Amino acid sequence: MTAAILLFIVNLIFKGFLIGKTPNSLSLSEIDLLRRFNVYPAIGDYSFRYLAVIMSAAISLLTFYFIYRQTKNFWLAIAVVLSLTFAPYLFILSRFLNVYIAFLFLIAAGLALLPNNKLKYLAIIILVFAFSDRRIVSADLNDLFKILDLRNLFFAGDTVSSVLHIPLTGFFMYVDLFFLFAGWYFLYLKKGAEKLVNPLNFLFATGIVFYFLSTSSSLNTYRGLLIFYYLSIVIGSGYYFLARNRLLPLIIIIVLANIVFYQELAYNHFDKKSSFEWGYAEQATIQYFNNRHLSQPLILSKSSAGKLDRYVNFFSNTNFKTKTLTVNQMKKTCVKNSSNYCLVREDELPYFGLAKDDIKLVFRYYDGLPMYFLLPTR
Amino acid sequence: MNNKKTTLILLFLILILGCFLRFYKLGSIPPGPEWDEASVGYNAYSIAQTGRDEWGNKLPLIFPAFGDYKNPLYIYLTAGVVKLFGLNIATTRFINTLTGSLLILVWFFIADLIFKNKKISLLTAFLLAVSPFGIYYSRIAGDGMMLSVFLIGAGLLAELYFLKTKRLLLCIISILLLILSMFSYNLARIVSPLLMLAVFIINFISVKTNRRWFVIPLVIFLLALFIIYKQSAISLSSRFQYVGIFGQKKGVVLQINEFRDHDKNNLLSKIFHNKVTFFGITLSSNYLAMFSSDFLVNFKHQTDVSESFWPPLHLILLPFYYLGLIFLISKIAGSRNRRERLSYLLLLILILVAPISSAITEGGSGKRDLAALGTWEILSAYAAVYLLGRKKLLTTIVIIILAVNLYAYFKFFYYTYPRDYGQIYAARENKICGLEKQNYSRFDYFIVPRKIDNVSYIFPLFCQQYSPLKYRQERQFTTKDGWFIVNRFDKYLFVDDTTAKDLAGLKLKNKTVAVFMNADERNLFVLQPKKLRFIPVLPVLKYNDVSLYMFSMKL
Repeated sequence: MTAAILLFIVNLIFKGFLIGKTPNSLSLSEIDLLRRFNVYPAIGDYSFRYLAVIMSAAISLLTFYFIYRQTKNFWLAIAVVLSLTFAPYLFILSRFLNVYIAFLFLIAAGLALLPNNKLKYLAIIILVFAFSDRRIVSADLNDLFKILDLRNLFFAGDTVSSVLHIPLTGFFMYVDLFFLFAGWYFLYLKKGAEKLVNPLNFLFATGIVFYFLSTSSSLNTYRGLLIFYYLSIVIGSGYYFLARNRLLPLIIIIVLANIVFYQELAYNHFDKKSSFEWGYAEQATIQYFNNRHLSQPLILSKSSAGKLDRYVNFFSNTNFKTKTLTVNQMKKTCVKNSSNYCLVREDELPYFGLAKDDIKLVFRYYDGLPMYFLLPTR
Repeated sequence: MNNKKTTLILLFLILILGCFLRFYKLGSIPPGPEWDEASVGYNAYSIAQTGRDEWGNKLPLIFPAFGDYKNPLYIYLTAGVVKLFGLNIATTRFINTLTGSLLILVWFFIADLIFKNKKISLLTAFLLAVSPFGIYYSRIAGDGMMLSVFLIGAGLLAELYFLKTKRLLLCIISILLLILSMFSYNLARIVSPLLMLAVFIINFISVKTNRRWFVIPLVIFLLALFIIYKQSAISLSSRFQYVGIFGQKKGVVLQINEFRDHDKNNLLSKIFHNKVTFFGITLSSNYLAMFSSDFLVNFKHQTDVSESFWPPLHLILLPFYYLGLIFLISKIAGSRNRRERLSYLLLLILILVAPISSAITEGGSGKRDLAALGTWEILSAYAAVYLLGRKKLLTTIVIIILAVNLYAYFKFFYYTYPRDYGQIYAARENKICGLEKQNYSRFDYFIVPRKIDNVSYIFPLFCQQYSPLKYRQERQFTTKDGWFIVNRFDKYLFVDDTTAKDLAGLKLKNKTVAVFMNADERNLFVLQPKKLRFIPVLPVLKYNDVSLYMFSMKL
């Protein structure tokens, strides 16, 4: 029990470290989710994300309990928890608020707390249907092979979008490839944990079903979640099997090296590579105008309003309003020497007789992609 | 299966099936010739006629061709075929088709020697006979791909026979075949030396007597390496810079710079983001991709010539492939018979070495993993026979699914593919060539724009079987970035653009010329001041949604 609690704390620290730094802005899906629960944080306040961290840590704890109850093998349970602690897909899912971490938490809870296999299976089926679209979203087998593809699992990650993709990292660490095969060998050929096999097979089968029924947001990180959970347990079994065969020092070194490598990529490069999806320019824009204490609404063109408005109207400490005008209206309002702040997109500049180089203040995404141009009215 | 006669009959039938699938409509499926095929065919024709290649080099060790430096063995063998049967698409492709058919036999015997199970051997042969990669790469001739794969397979077979019989001659034959493969296609320059190294080590350790005789194959190998070094000094490095991942302007280096920029180029970023780590990750990722389900059952290259439009493995075989790999590894670990273990090990070495040439090049490519052809089939056959055994119901289900997979593939390859994908096989250039041939005497000159490619000159040479001697005397060409750009020969002029200004600049006063254009070029042309009168020679020719126009004008 002490070990399990210790691992829970390790999870909290590992996944909660600098929670506001990476990602350091909110995605639109996170905003939508918070709105549903009437949570409106201040800009720069990411404390709500600790809920995801706690659920993720709880997943590890519950999985420990499940494995231990099934196999009575303490070290096997520890190894699986370690696999879940350091898995990149779970790390990134723990860094922002989302329903899928809650889904996985409930799955792990069902496996750990329900008394017999039949109830566990029933619980998993109910949860799968509750969290899915309850219709076949995509029946393309090719997509499934993409998710089960070894390269995508260990090197390429989510090929659908980079929004949840740690650069140069797969859903699992590179070295986990060897532990995956070792884990399969241990579980299925050596029959090292027979009581785990049936629940794991069921988990994998339901994972396939969930993949085809899951929401039309279509990120592989979400759709493949149950499959990844299954693979994490197999990989953990691989850690246990190889560590048992006197390879523990080597395993520690290579796993630690891989963790350090991908953590550097996660903290220093993740949201920079997908700053568009994480609203980097939008938050920078809001922070800039918050500091200006605007007396009049910020004027937005119709094409710049959509995404920016959702951010402006979300944060609790946004101290200005916005007003959306057509380009023709802006031509009358956003004249020189007026006191208005007016934002447009790059393709609208010619309507004002301006070019890119005429603009002094541009709000960009991290990679330099310009998003909002401040007209020179003041 | 004890009945030798039954085995022979079944093998014969499989071979007939394989030959039929490879030879049926060889000249039109896929359509062609495409650019490399035309180049290979014409160089073979030139060798057959004059003993020199298109550039006048006498019996070269490497063929400059367009500046891409083609390997010699395939061209020399094709020269023999062309000498006997003339130059056309079928004769250009013949050697690949023949070796692709014989590969079925090679892998039958490999499976027989390794597993000693006729069911596995026959199933391997059958799966290879109906293999999408096996069929496709036997039907194109852009390079000696299938010839190379055949020689690698034959080399492995010879080595397996050596392990069985201990006759040194077989070891020498094995080395010779692997060396020849290196003169057929570039992938063998990675795969074959590694295989040869494995062969040397295995033989030296395992064969206790007459070790000094291994000097002979070693000398042959070193001599071959020297010839290849001489041959490849220019061509290989330029080819590698073009397709390899290691160049300074390649994606990996750009990525390193981007990541260091994120970290403001601090010490930590130099430790984490450097060529060692990034190339290591890229190589590992590319290597693993060749064993991955996305490649094995999803891979479809729909825009490039010389790339299969169908993945290498039929869908139902995927689980058998992976299981076969696991069974092979456990056999190596568990086998007590030394010769048996070495045979399994040799097979595993080929499996592990085959993807390397694909791993070190940019972009996914099926043809660079072609050395694995045969291994997919043998592993699938091994697992299928082992698992299905006497399970009749399961076997029936697998057979039905495989039949469905095969039907889908054959329908696509023999019907849909030649109908819908002809434009990838230089359909425009071939149509132009046909029109040139038909109207040769009507025009003083034929003008072909180079907007689409720089090497359209090869098509009139190929389709008209133009005299190589005459061509070498007449042609005018330049070089750019190592590529040869032919501007004219005989009545054929190749121009960058067909604007009125460009045509006027050709200074062909009072000459009747035929000009070929696609829709964009034509629309641009008609907008220009009408300094030139042009008359459509024929109604617009449509193929695969592309329009081809032919105009006659007096300059």
